[in-house]
Parts: sequence; C-alpha cells; structure tokens
Amino acid sequence: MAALLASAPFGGLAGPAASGPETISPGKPLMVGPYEVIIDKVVELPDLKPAVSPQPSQRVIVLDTRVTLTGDRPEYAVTLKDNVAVSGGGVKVDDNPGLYFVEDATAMSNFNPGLTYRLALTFTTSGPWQGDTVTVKSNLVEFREQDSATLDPNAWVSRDEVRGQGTFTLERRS
Amino acid sequence: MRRGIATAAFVIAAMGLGRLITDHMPLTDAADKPFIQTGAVDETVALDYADVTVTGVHVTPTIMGNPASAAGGRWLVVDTEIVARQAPTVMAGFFLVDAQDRRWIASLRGPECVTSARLATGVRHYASICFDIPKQALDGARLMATRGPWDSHESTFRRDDVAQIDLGIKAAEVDALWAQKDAVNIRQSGPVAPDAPDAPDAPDAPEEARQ
Amino acid sequence: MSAANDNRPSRWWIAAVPVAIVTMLLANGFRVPVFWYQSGQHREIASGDANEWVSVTEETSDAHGDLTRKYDVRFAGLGGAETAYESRAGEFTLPEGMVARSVKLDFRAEPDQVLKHCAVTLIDDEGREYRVGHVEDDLGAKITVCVPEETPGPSAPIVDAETRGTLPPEEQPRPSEWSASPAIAVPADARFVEVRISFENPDYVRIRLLS
Repeated sequence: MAALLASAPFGGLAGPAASGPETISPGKPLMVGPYEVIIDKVVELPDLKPAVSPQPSQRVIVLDTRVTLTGDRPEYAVTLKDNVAVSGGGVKVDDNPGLYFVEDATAMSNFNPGLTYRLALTFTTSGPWQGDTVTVKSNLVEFREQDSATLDPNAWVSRDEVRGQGTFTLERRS
Repeated sequence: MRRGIATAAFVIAAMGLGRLITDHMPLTDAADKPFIQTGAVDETVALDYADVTVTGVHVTPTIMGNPASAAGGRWLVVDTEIVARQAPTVMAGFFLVDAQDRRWIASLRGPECVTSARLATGVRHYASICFDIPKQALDGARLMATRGPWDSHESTFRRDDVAQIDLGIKAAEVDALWAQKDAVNIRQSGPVAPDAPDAPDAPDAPEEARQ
Repeated sequence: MSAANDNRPSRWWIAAVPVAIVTMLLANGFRVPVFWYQSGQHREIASGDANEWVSVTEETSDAHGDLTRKYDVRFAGLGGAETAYESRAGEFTLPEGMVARSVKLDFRAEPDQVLKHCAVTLIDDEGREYRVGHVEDDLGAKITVCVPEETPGPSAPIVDAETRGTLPPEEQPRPSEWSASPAIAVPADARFVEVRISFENPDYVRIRLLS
C-alpha cells in the first residue's frame, strides 16, 4: 500500500492506458496528432476536378472533413495525410492521399494554427467500391519531446497503432 | 596517500571548471542563434547574401485568380524585392513572427504566391509571399526572410543572417484590416517589376509556374 | 589506481588521450564534407588560360556505377551586350546597367560523353559570381548550356533499364567538336578574371582570364 502511494507522483494511481481504438463517427472530433479532424461524410466520385482527375476505370473516395490545427506552431500537412486510411471496399487504395481546400480546390501542404478549413481528403481507388460502408482508420500520432537517436526533438511521430476507427456509410455521386 | 589527495583535488577542480564552462559559455543559445538584421517597410535590409526590401503589405480574404484563392482566416500578402549581390542564392525561409513571438508559415495556395526565391546575382527579384493566418497573428507581424526553410527546430538558419522586417501593423489597426474585403491581384514572381508595362498578368500565367 | 607492489599509478590513459581527441574530431568532422565541401565548388579538377585547350577528366557516376567524364574545353572570348534575357516566364529586359554576355566556349569530346546540365560561372575582380545552367538557376538557358541544342548527346541513365550513351530516336549523335555560347546576365562594366565550368559539386574547371 505504501509503495503504491509512493508511486503516485510517477503515475502509480493513474488509470490504465486507454485500450483499443476510439470510435470515429460522423461529426465527432478526432485528434490526429495536432490536428482536430471532424469527418462529416464519405463520398465516392468518378473524379474531383480540377483537384483529382483519375483514369475512367478509377474512382475517388473523398472524406469530407473540417480540420483545425491546434497548438501554437505551424505544421506540414503530411502529418495528417499519412495517418488516415480507408479500407473495406475490395479495391486497391492509393496510399498517397490528396488534401484539398473545398472552397478553391487548392492543395493544402501546410497549416497555421487556429484556422478551420473544410478539406477533401481524397483517396484514388483502382475501381468502384464494393459494398455500402467504408472503414476509416487513423494512426496514433504522438508528440515526442526528446529523442536521442534522431536528434529530432519536439516532433509529431506516428506510431504503428490504430488510434481511431469507424465505419461510414458511403454516398455515391456521379 | 598524498598522491590520492592530489588526484582527488585535480578531479574536483576539473569538474568545477567544466561546470563553469557550461554555466558561463554560450554553448547552446548563441551557438544556435541566427544573426537578425531588422528593418521596416520600404527599408532595405542588407544580409550577407542578399538585400531584402518589403515594398507592400496587403490583407484580404481573396487572392484573385482562376479560381480565386480563399483564405481560411485572411491572406497577409507581403510584396518583396530581393537582390543577391555576391553569388547566386536560394532563399527558402519566409515566415512571420507576431507580437507574441509565434510563428506563421507561408502558403503556396494563392496563385503566384511563392515560398522561395532563386536569385541570380545582381538581378532584382520580385516576389509576393502569402500567409493564411488568424486575426491574432496580425498584431505586430514581422516578416522573417532567410535561406533555410522554417522547421519546428528552426535549425536550418542557425548562425545565418535573417532579415526581420516590421510590417507596421498596430494593434489598433487589426480590426479594420480584418474587415477589408477587396481582393488582391498578385503578379508573377521573377525579374520583372510588377508595375512594369510588360509584366505578366497573374490570372493568365501558366499553371506550371505555380509549382 | 596503482599496482600494489610498486605503488605507481597506471599511465595507460595518457596514450588514450590523443586517440580520444582524434576520434572526437573524426566523429564531428562529417559536417565538413557534407555541409561545406560537397555543397559548393571546392575541388579544381583542371585549369588553364584563355584561348588554350584544357583537358578534363571528371569522376562521376550514374545508375550503373562509377565512370569518368572526359572532354576538352577552350575559352574563346566574351561577346554580346544584349539587354534581353530569358526567365521561366519568357523574355524580359535586364535592369539598367546589366547585359547578357555570351561566353564563347569550344568543346571536343566523344559523342558518348554526357555533357548536358553543365553550369558556366563568370567571376569578376570583386569576387562576384554570375552563373547560368545550374539546377537552382531560374534565369537563362538550361540543360543544353554547353552542348549543341539539336544534338546535345546522351543523358545519364537514372534507372538500371536505361543503357549508357543511347539517344532518343531521330536524334543525331553530337559532333566531336563544337562551340557553345551561353549567355549570362552580368553588370556591363564588370571585369572578369575567371570562368568556371562545372557539372557536379565539388568539382570545377577553372579558366583564367586577363592573364
């Protein structure tokens, strides 16, 4: 008992680490590293011109999102793009998604904090999606203050661990 | 025994000397700090590798183009003129620092907005840098211009010259600037002065130039 | 600390000190080649005077491994005083006081030598460097700076599937002797002391002028 109390300042009384991924659902905020992401819907389109123009046989899965960079410093968009994935359609999904500002179809490559954008996160697929649902997963992205191996302090690092997972109904438009 | 005492004294003295060095020598701070050269709008700031002048500052929700580019907050557009005096130079570090010492980075989204400048020796280069920022970033904003691109460690311009140019935005002016609605037209960056008669028009510029 | 019988302390550490110092310098010294030597023109591989042939052998590499690039070059003079120059947006008029000087160069090389992507630099008596053809240069000619525009010769293979020395269909082989005259934007009154021809850092060829 005494040993347990003595360990309190070091986290001895803290609850167990959250286990398993949290559920992503439409309209619910999700943290991907420093980004607060709200996914409103998931849509399949033949293209998203002028931003995305795939082959006629291909399709585009678009996550319609609202994204805010929290914190107090700028970040590059890869921290967000590389850590969200879609699956479950029985087709090949391009693992290098695009990120476009819906208002003017320009690509987002970096963010300043405190601004909210409506963004299309776009995944090109090899063909029409099979089924009516899309599984969206996000990676755990942690802030690492010190790392002696890479000399890369205060960086957002993605871990090979699912942080959020949810199933969305797929809207189809042509 | 005496040798043992001498050795102990030597070790303690050496440790004390080490402590003095780490306490009083500028090891991390000054060793990492860039050399800041300050200036204001329409003043030329001379760096080792280039002269930088801010010639215009605009705040707008829209940058003209096809399609026009919308800001998430507001666009702060900074027009610059840069000349390399000694050798060809690439400047890739353009960012803002506000009154609270926060950093804001430049965007490539607006047509003709650039985040770097490739300078030929002696040829004046005209470039507009666009920042999509929230209201809080306007007060006291200063343009920082240097060679290395901004990163979260600010490691790419250590011990290098950095221009810090006060854009002259006072706290009392922020509301009026934020309320402005007029769209801004940005000319293509390069060696041609934006007000020259043969300056290329931004909306007709080729797409590839925006890369 | 000391052997029990003769009471003398070990002196082996004295021998270790220079080893430790050298190891420390080597461990930190990687910055010198990476951030300085290989990032600029620091190794003169051949030199000569104006109007004389300079033979150049340069170590290089492509997708298939190491090879040497061999050519002869002769500086034949400076010409031209055009006020028009080219940028990525098209032709423009150079600022007052600057002109585009053509650097007249004669070359001799086997048709299989890769001589695209060369940079030509003029250095004046104040040490200022004016350059064309480098990958970071926005103004002036690109790629075919040192070779005939219609018959530039082969490119370096960048993947295994490409073979060395192949030309695109319909393209004739490069002649074994030719002249090139790339234009560089320079001050009209500059006095030049040196021309450099370079393909890859840190190597360059130096030709002395005004001797």
